[in-house]
Amino acid sequence: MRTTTRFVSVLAAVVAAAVMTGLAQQAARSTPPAAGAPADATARIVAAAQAVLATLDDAGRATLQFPLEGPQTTRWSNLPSPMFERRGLRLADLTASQRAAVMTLLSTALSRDGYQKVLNIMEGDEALRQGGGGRGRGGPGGRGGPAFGRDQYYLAFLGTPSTTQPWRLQYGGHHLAINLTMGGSQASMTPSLPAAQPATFTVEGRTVRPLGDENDKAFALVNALDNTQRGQAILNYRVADLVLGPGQDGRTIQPEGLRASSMTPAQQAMLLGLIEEWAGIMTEAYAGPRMTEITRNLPQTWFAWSGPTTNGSAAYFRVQGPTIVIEYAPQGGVDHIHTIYRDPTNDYGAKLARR
Amino acid sequence: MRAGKSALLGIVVALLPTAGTGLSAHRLDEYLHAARLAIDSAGVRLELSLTPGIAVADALVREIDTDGDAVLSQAERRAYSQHVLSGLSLRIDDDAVPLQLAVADFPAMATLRAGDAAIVLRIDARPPHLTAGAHRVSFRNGNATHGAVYLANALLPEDRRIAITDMQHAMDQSGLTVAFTVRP
Repeated sequence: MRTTTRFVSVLAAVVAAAVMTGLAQQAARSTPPAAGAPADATARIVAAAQAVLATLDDAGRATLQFPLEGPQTTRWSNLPSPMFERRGLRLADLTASQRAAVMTLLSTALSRDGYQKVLNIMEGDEALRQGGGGRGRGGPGGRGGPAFGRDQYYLAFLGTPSTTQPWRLQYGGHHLAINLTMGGSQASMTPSLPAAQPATFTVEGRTVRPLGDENDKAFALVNALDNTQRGQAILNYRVADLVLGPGQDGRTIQPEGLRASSMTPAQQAMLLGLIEEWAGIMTEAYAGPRMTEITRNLPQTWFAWSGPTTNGSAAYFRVQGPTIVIEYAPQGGVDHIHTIYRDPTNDYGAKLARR
Repeated sequence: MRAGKSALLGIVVALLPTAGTGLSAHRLDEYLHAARLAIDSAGVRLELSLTPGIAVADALVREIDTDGDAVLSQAERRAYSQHVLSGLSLRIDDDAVPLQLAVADFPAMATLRAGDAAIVLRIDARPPHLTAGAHRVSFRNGNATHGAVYLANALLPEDRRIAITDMQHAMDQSGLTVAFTVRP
């Protein structure tokens, strides 16, 4: 994931998107590289969270803050806000400086790639609003209302930002939910829901695919399997949607498909690269230990596929292991994708709460 | 409330053109039946989540609200739940097992109509006696109105005496057969 070529391309993409959003540009430029120990990352994120709070009056802080345990925990969805009532600070209601502080917080809490992914999802929704997305299929933008677009995303703090005590940063809107729970040197970014519609759009002549790497890496992996492996990985039935999407907390399904223990080392590396597209959304200091955990459990991790195996087709896939569930579910075609990322043992930082 | 409903319908109109073949954007015009089977040594607990998309929710509400008073009474909820149950079948090995409705949880009318809320039925299927050894549970959902689409999955058994050994899904997931063993 961290090749120089990709880093350069991502950096270029960051700059391009920042030009497009204006305020995001300010945030991206002001963000120091995220590295070092997880506790240091937590300290940086808490400082950025406190900077957000400092821009707000009492009413704004009351809108932003929620108890760590309560109904706000599960108040996230793939749906646009009029169909699903979100609470928190809405970007559309913020001043320029408040919004810049929010974007700086996100860029601090997420990796460069993860932050870019979030920006791309938001810009995809803006393309949807403006009716320019969907590769000529239109979209609701021409008749769209305030439900769509880059302004319709919400930030909430659950618990008080702290370097020692658990709290959660919740950010989301249409096709996006990030639930990042932190507690000292520990962090969990599950459940989270990165999705995209349109899945491909252009900005100033540049093609943007918010979940393009996820798609391409999965197709590469399924096509790297031999016939016997494919016979195990490819399910003989259609999967219509996410099985463990919003509202399905606390459930674990029987795994299916091909076990990674039956993969070659090269295939296992491809699987890890695919997983990192989700696990690597949070800042590198958190993502490193998370990938170590996932790698340790890789032999007990399964890869399942439903649909055609030619890239460009709509196909569902699932990665499931002791501490991870990823689902990727096209919604009727390749231009509308829902995904979910969970940890059956640590959704909402359950392990942090038990410590 | 009326204005809110109108706004939601406007979103439906706006989103429908993005529908591809088969599934539509955000499942607007389909009725998702998501079945989850939990197998333990006493039998099967079935949870069926029924989520109508906003474009079909009104038709479903009209079906449930038989007296048309815009309130889903207990009697209407019970009747609809039993109607759904009558479309389900569950066999353990070769024996049909009676389905007992344990819980029927209906969301508020407004959220049901908004296309983001599920009717949840929790159903028990308890065979007379589940012996140690190999068994097979076969589930079938024959409910097919309002553009039904299906998911069917077995939950990872919490009962350590149970081990799932195989699963076979119908192509559209309206059916699921799970082979499992019960350890003594």
